[in-house]
Parts: sequence; structure tokens; C-alpha cells
Amino acid sequence: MNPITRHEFVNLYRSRTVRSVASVMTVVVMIAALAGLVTQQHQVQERVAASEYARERWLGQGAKNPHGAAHFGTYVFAPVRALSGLAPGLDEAFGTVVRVEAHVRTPLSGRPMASRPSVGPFGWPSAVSLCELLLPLLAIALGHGTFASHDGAGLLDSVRTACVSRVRLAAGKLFGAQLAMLACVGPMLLGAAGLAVAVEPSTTNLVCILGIVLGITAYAWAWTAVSVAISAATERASTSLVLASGLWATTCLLAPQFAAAHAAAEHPMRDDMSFQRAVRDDLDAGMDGHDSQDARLAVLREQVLAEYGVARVEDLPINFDGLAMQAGEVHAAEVYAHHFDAQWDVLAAQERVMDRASVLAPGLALQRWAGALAQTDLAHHRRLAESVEAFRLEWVAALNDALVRGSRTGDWEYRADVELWATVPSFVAPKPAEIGSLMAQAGAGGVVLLGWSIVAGALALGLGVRRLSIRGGR
Amino acid sequence: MMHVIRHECVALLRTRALWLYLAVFGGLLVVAARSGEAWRDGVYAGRAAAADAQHRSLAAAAKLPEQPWAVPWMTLGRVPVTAELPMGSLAPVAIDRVGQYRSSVVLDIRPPDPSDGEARMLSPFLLDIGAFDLAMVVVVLFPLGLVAMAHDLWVAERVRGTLALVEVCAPSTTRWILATILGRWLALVAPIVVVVAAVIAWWGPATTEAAVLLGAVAVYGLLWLIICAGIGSRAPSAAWSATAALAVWIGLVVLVPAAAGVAASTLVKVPSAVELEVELERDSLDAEEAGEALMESYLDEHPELPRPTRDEDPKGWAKPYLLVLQAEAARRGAVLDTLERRLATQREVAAVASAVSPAATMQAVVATLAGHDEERLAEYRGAVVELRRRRRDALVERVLQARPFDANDPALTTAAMDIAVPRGLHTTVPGLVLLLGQCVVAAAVSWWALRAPA
Repeated sequence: MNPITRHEFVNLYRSRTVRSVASVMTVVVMIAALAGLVTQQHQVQERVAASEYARERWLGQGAKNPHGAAHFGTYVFAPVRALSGLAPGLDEAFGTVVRVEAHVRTPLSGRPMASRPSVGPFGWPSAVSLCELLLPLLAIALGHGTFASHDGAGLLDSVRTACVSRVRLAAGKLFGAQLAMLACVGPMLLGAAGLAVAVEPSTTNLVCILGIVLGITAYAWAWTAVSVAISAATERASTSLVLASGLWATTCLLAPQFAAAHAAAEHPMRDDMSFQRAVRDDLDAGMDGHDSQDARLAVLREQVLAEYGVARVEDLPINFDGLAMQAGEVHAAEVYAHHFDAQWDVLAAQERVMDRASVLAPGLALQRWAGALAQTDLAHHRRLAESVEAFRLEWVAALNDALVRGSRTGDWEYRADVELWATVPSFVAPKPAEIGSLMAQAGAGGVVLLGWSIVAGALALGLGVRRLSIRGGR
Repeated sequence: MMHVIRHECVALLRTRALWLYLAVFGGLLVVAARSGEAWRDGVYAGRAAAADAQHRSLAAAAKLPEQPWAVPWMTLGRVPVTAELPMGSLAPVAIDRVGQYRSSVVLDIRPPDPSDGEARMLSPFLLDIGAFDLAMVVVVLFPLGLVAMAHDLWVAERVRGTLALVEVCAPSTTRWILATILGRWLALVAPIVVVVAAVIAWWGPATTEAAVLLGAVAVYGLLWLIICAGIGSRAPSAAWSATAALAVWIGLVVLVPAAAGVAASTLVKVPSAVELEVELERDSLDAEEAGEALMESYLDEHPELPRPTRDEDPKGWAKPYLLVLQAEAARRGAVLDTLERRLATQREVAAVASAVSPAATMQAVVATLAGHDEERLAEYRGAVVELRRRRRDALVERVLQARPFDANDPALTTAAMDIAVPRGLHTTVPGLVLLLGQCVVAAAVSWWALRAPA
């Protein structure tokens, strides 16, 4: 190992300030990781129990008309992903439960944050969010005096006169700081990763958690290099510290909020009331299966009568009301899909704004990277919402089909029982995505983290060499 | 004393850092002002659109429906009339995550549901990160700016050894210390108070709440100056002082509120949305039986009323339906009341646990002044539940008694009603007292740090 790197590393690692900051951070992040994993396990159990109750309720509803059963409804609970305890991503902002019934598509409600007390301006703490917020501060504690304090003490000149090249000296200082950072955060990250894999061991989890650790390491590398670069560009350690802290406040506190506000303003979502109004207007323009005056219902009636060669719906061997319900359902599904897809597209556009903003705020890139790998990002929530709707349509279609085939038109006394309830489909959560597609989703964040690491490293080296050149020339 | 104050102010005014600090915070406050104004305009626009839609829906419900099973009273009762949370003049001050709550809830006849007050169509990014608002600038960034600008208070004197000289030679050390801090306050805090005052004036007419907010900002700034002074008086160097002050900021602004929240949610268990849904569903199923019993007893009490049967009367479904609804609403309401009480206890525990953090206290004061504190929102939810109950009662009474249909019945057609959730200034008193107490404690600790031998 380069002796300058070793010296810098040992010097920094022995520093009481650095060790205090690193110790506090390790404790805080490990507590958050443990709390996150315990919460995740509790959520898994509660949702399994809730799903069992929903199934039991559905099967035990007694004998009733299938359309009555479709209004009786059932419940779908959002599945909990294995790494959501460490990187909850957008899980806090999306709902966890939805009642599935005929005619109506509703988004998942019951955000986890609603049953928790307010915890200050930075949201519910998780291992990744704390790393995002606190790692830069550790990097600043490590790197702010790399050049500035030694320069003040005249040590740089002494080393330079010992015929050490400027590049070697600057690189030694940078890599020494990076090694110290790695030594500080390595055990913490590996500990948290080990815990997460131990809770739900699988190859996908292992790869994903290693990917998240790699992302956090790149983030830490970038901030350490930035801190060293600022140290190389300033005369005094205190100035370096204040400037680096200012940069941290700008990129970690302000930029994400400005980006989120800008994304929401640039691509506004419809509020609840206007969304419901728009859906209602479009539904009213079509048939809902209950309105006998609907023109399209008349067309359907004519088609069915012609198909069966009878003159009245009462003469049909099937229940026309069931067909009308299903046709109404298909129409409503189209209306809902149109409006919900538009909302999801708005969110996707907002996400693209956030991706662009992450170039200025690497914390956002880390969120994007970790959220995609933990399957707690926007794409995952959209996939879940769409799978719930696909299930709803299949489920209602099965009940309407039973009504059509099991009874005749006008027979509202027809009753189905548990035999039918047991055969209609149950909700199956979408399978975890393949590693390849997760990496592709996380790509935007990964590229920014890599870019920051390379640019910040180059900047630290460049400014370090320049600083040493100036000192050497004096 | 005056010459010390003047010296501090003039010395700071000669630095570029002060002008940069003022420019940065001036800019941030202007951005926060515009952000708050845009939010308020958006809320008003949404309410106006909702009111317009209500009038149209009420007009449509006034026409007698054609379907034989349709009950006009029920159609009228299902019109989405809204109850709106009144917005105070300081509402745009704290809009951080307020978007997750609906400030305008539909007063239909459904039984209460935990998702009633939850806004669904909301940017998850905004919700996750929080909206930029004046509270963020004042509570989080302002102390960070003060740490940057005042961490070196007395460090230079200590390093040079002149601090001891001043303590010995100054006519009154106490007055000198007070004058120094006052000088810094005038240069660093007073301009921020003035800009905040200008922002509030831009939003609307000045109120007592605004004066209280300005006072709170002034005290909060003073508190952070005192903390910086305490750290600076013991610091061996400016870098050490800056590191320590930053660590205190992280602890008090980020870690303590988060730890208090985690502790409160661990100590006071509140059912999650999933658990709650299961519990409410069990109660709803039980309510069906209760509703039928309710129907029987009601009919026994009123022998003059015909027993509703679907075969004879296509509208007969409405009476048992409404009574089941009543029973279901009563049971679900009881569960949700318990939930609200648990949430209130959780909030109290979190408040106690974070009492050591001036940032948490200031956030609570600002949110209360803005009318977006959790207590007020809980009161609003309670008021909505009560209004819905009254509407349901009115509807049940009209349907069961078979009253002639009146499309202008005020009990069911009063639209866009403002819910009176009165909040006097007294609700901010505990927060303000705590803030002053924290200021006194910080002053006592700093005083000790300054006077104790190094």
C-alpha cells in the first residue's frame, strides 16, 4: 500500500472526531436496519393473517346471488418485499389494502405513514435513508481537513520536499480518506446486508442487497471525494467544513424537495375529487349494467336475442342480466384503465424529472437505485396496482359467468354457494422481478452514482494536484 | 453595552459571508412564499370546482328518478356534498406532508372508513420527500445557517487567549456576553424575522398568529445562537466548533425527532391499515345482524308503519338497508374512535420524547399556527364523522317515516360547508412555553460552559 495512503488512513481512522461520528452513525443505521426488518416481518405476518381472513370471509359468506357476492367483495393486501425493511422506497406513500368489488376500481388505501407519528422533516427513518442523509456528513468529517489542516500546519511542504510526486501525494490522500470511509461504513453495511439476507435467504435477495451495498459505497466514495476536493480548494479546515456542509444541505435537503415540487408542478396529478368526477362522467356516458335505458344495452340485447333465435330475454336459456353486468364491467374497466393509466403516466413523468434532478442530488440517485433493487419503487407499485385490477376483472367475470349460466333472466332469487366461491380466482401477488429487469430499472440511479464517483474522484485528484503545485511553487 | 453590540454588527456586516447568508435565506424564503401561495391557490381552485360539481349533482338529484326501485331521498343523500377544513391566514406556512390529508371530505351516507380523510391521488415523491415550505426554511435550514455563521463565536478569543482578558477587564462580563449575543442576533436573526414578516404580509392581512410566529422565530434563532455560543466557548478551534455545532444540529433536528417517533410507535401500538380493515370488516358483518334487530325493534315501536317487503314494494330495500348502515356506522365509528385515541396517545408520547429538541418544538408551534397540526386534523376528521352521522340520521328519519320528498331539504343539501374546528392561540402556548424553557436551559448550559475553567 502507498505509504501516504496508509498514513492518511491510519491518521484519519485514529481521529477521535471521525471515530465518534462513525460510531454514532453505525449505531443509528443498525438500529434503523433492525427496526426496519422487525417491522417488515410483522407486516408479512399481518398480511398473511389478513389474506387468510379475507379468504375465510369470502368462503363463509353463505348462499347468495353471484352479483350480490360481487358487491360483498373481497380484499387484497399489498405483498411485502424482502428488502423493504432496509429500503422502503415509496412504500410509505402508497396504500396497503384495497377492497375489490364489482363496478368500482379503487386504488390501494391505508398508507403506513398514517398510523405513525410525525418524525420531523425527513420522514420515517430507514437504513438507506439514514445513509443518504448521514454518510455525506461522515465523509465531510473525514475529508474536510485532508489538505486544509495539513497545509495550515505546513506539513504539505515538508512532504513535498521529500520528493514525493504531487499526483502520488494527492492520490494517497484521496485513497487514504476513501479507505478510512470504507473501514467506517463497511462493517455497518455488511451487518445490515447480512441481517436482511438471513431474514429471507434467496439468491435474488443476496444479489439485490449486494447491489444496494455497492450503491451506498459508491455514494460514500463520491461524497468523500467531494469533501477532499473542497479541502483542496480552501485554505482553512473550518472554511472547508462550512462549504462542504453547505453543499450537503443544498444537495441532500433542498434539491430533493425542489425536485419533488418541480416534478409535481410540471406534471400535476388530478386531485381525488376531479378524478372521481371525470371517471363518473365517462361511466355515465356508457352503460353500467343497471340502467335499462342505455342504448348500448339495447344493442347487446338485440345481438344476444339474434344469437339464440328468441324474441324476448325471458326466453333465453341464460341470464341476460349477467351478460349486461359483464358488458358494463368491461366498459367500466376501459374507463378506469384510461384514467388510472393517465395518472400512472403522470407519475412516470414525475419520476423522470426526479431522475434528471438526481444529477444534482446524488441522494435521489441512491434512492432510485435502492428502491428499484428492493422493489419498492414506482414501477413495482404500478405493477401491483395493475395486477390487482387484472384480478378484479377476472374475479367479477367468473361471478357474472356463474350468473349467466346458472340462472335465467329475471331470476334474482338464484343463489350460489361455497362451491362457486371456492372456484372463483384468488389474488396472486406478482412474482418478484428478475434480477436483469431490476438492474435495468435501477440503471438511471446507478449511472448517476457512478458518474458522481468518477467526476468527484477526478475533481479531488485534480484540485489536490493543483493545490500541491501552488504550494510547491511558493 | 451598545458599543459591543455595534462592534459585533459592524464586524459581521463587513464580511461577505453575512451577505451571502442573507441572500441565501432571502431567496429561500421567497421560494417558500411562492410555494405556499401556489399550494393555497390550488386548494381554493379544487374547492371551487368541487362546489360547482355539487350544485350540478344536487340539481340532478332533485329530479325524480325513473327506476322503480330508486328512492329519491337516497339519491339525494348520496350526492357528494363536501365538508371543508377552514384555512387560516398562516396555512401556507406548513404544507410539508399536509397533502396526504384531505382538507375537503365528501359527506355521503357511508359508514366511517379510515381512508375517508386520506388523499389518494398524490405525488408519492412529494409525499416521501415533503413539500418545500416556510417551516422547512425556519425550522431546519435557519439553524444550519446560524451554525455556519456563529460557530466561531468566542473561538477566536479563546484561541488567542483574549477571552480571559475580556472576562477580567470588561466592566461587566455578563453584559459583555449578552451584548455579543445580541449583536449577533441583530445581524443574523432580525433580518430573517423581517423577511418572514414580509412573506406573511404578502400572503394576507397581519394577524395575532403572525405576530406569535415572528416571536417564535426570534426566540428560536436566539436559542441556536446560544447553543453556538456554548459550543464556541469550549472549542479549541473553529473547525472543532463547527463540527460540534453541526453534530448538535444533526442530533436535535434529525435524530431526536426521528428517535422520538420510533419510540412512540413502539411504545403505543396503533393498528396498521391492514389490521384495521380486518377489524372493521368483522364489525360490519356483525352489524348486519344488529341492523336487522334494529329494524325489528323500530317497527315494533312504530306499529303504524308498514313492514317493508321487497315483493310488495320495490323501494322496500331502503329501510332495512339504512338501519344496517346505521348499525354498521355505529360499530365502525367506535373502532375508529379508539384508533383516534391511540393515535392521540402516540402523538403525546412522541411530543414528550422529543421535548429535548427545539426543532421538534418549533415544528409543532409552526404547524399549530398554520392550523395543520395533527390534533386539529383529528378534530376535523371527528367533525366530519359527526356531520355524516347527522346526515344519515336525517335520511333514516325521512325514509322510515316516508316523508314527502323535498329536493331542497337543508339537512341533505347544504353544500361545501365549512367545518368549525376552532383553534385559539392558546393551543400554541404549551409549545411556546417549551421553546422558552429550552432557550433558558441552553442559556444556563452555555453560561456554565463559558464561565467554567477550561
